[in-house]
Amino acid sequence: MKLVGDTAPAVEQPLRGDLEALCDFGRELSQLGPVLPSRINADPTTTEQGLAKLVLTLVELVRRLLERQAIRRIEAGSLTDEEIERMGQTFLKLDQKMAELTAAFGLKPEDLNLNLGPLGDLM
Amino acid sequence: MASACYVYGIQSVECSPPSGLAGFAGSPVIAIRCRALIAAASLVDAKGVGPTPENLLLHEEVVEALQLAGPLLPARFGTVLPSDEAVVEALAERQAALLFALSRVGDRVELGLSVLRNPPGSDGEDSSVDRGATSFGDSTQMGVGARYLRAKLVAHRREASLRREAAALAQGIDGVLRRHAIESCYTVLPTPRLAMRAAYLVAPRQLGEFHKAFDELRVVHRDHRFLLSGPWPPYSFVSPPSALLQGEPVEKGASLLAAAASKLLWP
Repeated sequence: MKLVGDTAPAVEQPLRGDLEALCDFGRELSQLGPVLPSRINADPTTTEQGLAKLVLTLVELVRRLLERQAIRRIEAGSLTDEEIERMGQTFLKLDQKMAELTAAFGLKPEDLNLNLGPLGDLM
Repeated sequence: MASACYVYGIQSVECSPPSGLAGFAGSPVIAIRCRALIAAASLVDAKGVGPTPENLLLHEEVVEALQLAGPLLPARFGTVLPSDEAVVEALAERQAALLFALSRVGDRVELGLSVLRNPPGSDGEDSSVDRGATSFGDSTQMGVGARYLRAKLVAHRREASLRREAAALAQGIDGVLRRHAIESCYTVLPTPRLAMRAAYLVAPRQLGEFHKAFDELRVVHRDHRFLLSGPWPPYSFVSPPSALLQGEPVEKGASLLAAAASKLLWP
């Protein structure tokens, strides 16, 4: 099968289209997460990190849902300035605390996700 | 060394792996039969096979060689069962579903499509995104909490705007390409720059028309970058489409959860 593109070298590749942007495509596709399902690491020496990842992911999910709900209420105009300030401070502290805990367990922010198989990623 | 069965794919009994076909560590690919189906498998170390580029390529080469022998349900990389008895058991349990999937896939192939937006900043920012944030009043008078939520609101609106644009684009592109395919599935905005990713199940006779339609789409959407890959074994069409895969129930559930949690904090 021939490679068909604007500036493509004549090599055998099953690719077609804007091949000059292959690096851009590669960069974006690599952000989609591992193709193979990740699992909680059952190695006794790193069990703590595996469990922390699971728990922190669930906490992060709830935090994001609450934040989204707060934004909806702001958009609906149902909160006073004082309430917005108080909620904002709460979310900011929660955000900072999550960052601290994530780093403390040797995790990166992008680690806080779960692959739900055919449903895709949790977040 | 404890061994296990690495499965490359499933075919009907009329097919058999090409003679001399070797799998991981040179182990021959054999057919494990269960009634009307066979699983093409080879023996591997019980620890399985690591996801290295070489191993991924070998898996793909074996799958493509098997596909030459007839319709195939390709197994995902890393499908390992403890023994050939376990393979037979798995085939027996899913016999009807696998036979249906085989008839659905037939000799069709998969094409993968990715569509990339222009780099951020090259298209005009949506000014409406910031309008809602004016309800916060003068930003210089705001406290740290309100500023935090304002930034989140702007980011949320920007993402929603991007998603709307990407959904319209994906619908249009899929509408054109779907005419030259048996089935399709796509995701919208999997990353902020990737407007859509799609997979198309295409009959070999449709390939020419599909490629023509793809080239025409590139001309129409010059502000986007297109990449089409394949033909591949139909990895994305092995499982039947399910109502569960539609986003609405998930989103609805998430909203209900958010509302419940919100009530707990701010009754």
